Amino acid sequence: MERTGPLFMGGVPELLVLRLLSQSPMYGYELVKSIRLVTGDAISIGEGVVYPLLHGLERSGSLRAKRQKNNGRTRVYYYLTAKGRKRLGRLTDEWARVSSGVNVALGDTSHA
Amino acid sequence: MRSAQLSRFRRSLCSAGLPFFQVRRAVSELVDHENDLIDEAIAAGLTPAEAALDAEQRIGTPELIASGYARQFKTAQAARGQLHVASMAYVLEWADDVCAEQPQNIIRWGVALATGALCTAAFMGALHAVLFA
Repeated sequence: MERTGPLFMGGVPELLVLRLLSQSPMYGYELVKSIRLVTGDAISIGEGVVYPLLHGLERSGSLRAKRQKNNGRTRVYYYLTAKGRKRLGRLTDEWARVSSGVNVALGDTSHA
Repeated sequence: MRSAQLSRFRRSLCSAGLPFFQVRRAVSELVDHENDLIDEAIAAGLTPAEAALDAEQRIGTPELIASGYARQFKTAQAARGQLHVASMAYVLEWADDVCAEQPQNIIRWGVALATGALCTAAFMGALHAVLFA
């Protein structure tokens, strides 16, 4: 399993992080594990990507961080904000548009 | 992550220009993350020593993780810089319009801009002195 994806992976970590956080608040480790789980191990996003991304999204107002106790340890949980929900909607639409376009193009190529 | 590696991570983040509170949080989150990885590996049957080594390998080098923060921080800084340039351009354009109508306002605008810049510099200097004293 590769730790760094190809260039077209740009934007995918953000989409996945926002999507997972729209279901429930999570901390970094949980997110890394969940991304692997929901993508069937196809996508593995390293710690060097996830944490800077979370901090950036928090700074832009898409996420809110809150320290909470869990099993005797204090964790930084990330919550999706209304702004983040809007961004998720935009990114999801964009992804649908791009992926359907690429699928059409790949389909066309295979028939050429 | 051993303390030497944590120091390297902290140093890399500081040299990338991240504010100290962000550095502190990044370090504590990484330590928590590593502890979770160790627990997971021990639960999977590894010895504590093997689990620690496995977690270290999965996380990667301190410089690699710090580079992600540095990239993200630079992007945010660049976006902020563009915003500042855009707002300054807007202010100058507005001032230009006003001055075209009333040329005597040029000096007034100049003084106002210089005072604003001096106040910002003094505030940033004081803040830096308080935070890094």
